[in-house]
Amino acid sequence: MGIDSLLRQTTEWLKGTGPEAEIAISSRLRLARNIRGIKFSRRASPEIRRRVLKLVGTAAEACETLRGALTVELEKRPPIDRQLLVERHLISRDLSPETQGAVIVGSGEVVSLMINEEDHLRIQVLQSGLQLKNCWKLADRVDSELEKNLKYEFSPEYGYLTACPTNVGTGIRASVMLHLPALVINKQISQVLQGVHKLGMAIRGTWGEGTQAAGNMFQISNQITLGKTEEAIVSELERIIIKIVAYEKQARDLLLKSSSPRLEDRVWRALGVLKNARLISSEETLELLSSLRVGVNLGILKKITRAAVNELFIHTRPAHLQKMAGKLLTSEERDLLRARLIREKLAAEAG
Amino acid sequence: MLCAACKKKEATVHFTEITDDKIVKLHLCEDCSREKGLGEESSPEIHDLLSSLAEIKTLPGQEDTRCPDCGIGFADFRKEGRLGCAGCYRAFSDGLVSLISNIQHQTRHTGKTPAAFRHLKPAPDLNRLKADLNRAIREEDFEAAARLRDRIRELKKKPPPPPGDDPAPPPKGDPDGD
Repeated sequence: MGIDSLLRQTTEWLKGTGPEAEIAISSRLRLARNIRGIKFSRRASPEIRRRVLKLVGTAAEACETLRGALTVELEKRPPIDRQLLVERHLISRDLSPETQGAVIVGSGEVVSLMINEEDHLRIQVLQSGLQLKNCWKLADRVDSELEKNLKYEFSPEYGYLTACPTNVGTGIRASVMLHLPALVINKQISQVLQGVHKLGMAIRGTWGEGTQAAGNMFQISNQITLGKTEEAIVSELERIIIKIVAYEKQARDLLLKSSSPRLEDRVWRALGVLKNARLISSEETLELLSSLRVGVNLGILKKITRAAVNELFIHTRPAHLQKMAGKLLTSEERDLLRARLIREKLAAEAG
Repeated sequence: MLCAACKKKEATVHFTEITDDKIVKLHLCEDCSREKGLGEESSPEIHDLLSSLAEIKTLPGQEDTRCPDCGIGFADFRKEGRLGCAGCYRAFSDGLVSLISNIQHQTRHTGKTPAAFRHLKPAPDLNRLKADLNRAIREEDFEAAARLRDRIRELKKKPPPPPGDDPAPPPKGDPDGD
């Protein structure tokens, strides 16, 4: 199985299923781990980093949860592949071929192991909808399996030792991607964001490669990783997410009641442009897809599925387009292909 | 659209900053966004850490401390916000304790422990486990509740540590004055 096979499958977290999937696109959880007696990746030599890669690879082969996994070593792949993995949220932008970065992707892209980022190992679980507890259970299981063959750096006092003290302790970072268009339209979003910040959680607007807040997508994650159990960290975050989801629902109801024609106009106009454009930029796409998603979730657009819209968010990103085309494209060529891809997808959805 | 910073390459990263009520949009190319640290991993935690690091008041000589295991200096850590190896946690412990309590509000791990370390683990706080158990029950997460209940049972079976508020007189002949 090669990296191109990823293009043909819908990644699990885009399926638009799971609790609160209307608003909570996906849940992600990662655990940072380092191998005992080896310098952290940034300070290790290339030889040592290759050894880390081998150690983790061998341990992963013994994991039931990673059967049939795909290993991608960035050193051996063209830069476009790295960008593709970033767009699919399988690796962070900081994973680099210069530091022998690699990723092991489990089937369905639910579990992945990022190797030689700033920590030797980052276990990541991605699921559709609000499923933080399930993410933790699965990550915990993968971690326990790996631990049979890997000796981790751990101190009874500080817990799992990480390159950055912001991850020390549990090494856990749980996050949920939320689609909050109604709160943005209502201008209540900054209030919500400030509230979340006060509760000790981090917020950033995000889509794909650092596209912060474009498409009204926000990512909310825990900041504290030490002094609490993983279960407590996950539940605290989940409680806050449930509240934000409720605010967004309220805001949507209000919008429907107070300015239904305006909202419908916005949705139908977005569909009109997406169905007819011959050239479309990535930024315009994100904004219009956001409106389309609102239309699907509020039942204004009945023939289009949430999964299709979710998928378009990813498939219209630059690396996905170029991988699909099988070659590097100029910006205008991308805009052309992007517009065609959207038209085809929407035509197929409409039946 | 061209990158707002270099004005040469195509802007593919669209950054929207929301501060109070202002929304500022910034369109950058991939290279400039990385340079500005606006990538996906430029998380708020890192910004907090770097500002905490800038505020640390070091003792004379502390800046020159080096980790004997990997060789990085405390000054390197202050600049980059990253440690070089596990040994740095010991080597820089003076500076790290206050930094960690600053950014994490806690200094002691209470979460998962690898099997290889379980015998070393300081006795987990029974009250904390009970609080976690109550929370799990409240949230109807029965799987977690069962796991916590088992851990609490296991702990209760073990001989309890010497109680601190025991009214019994101190053992005779114990010179330990600490």
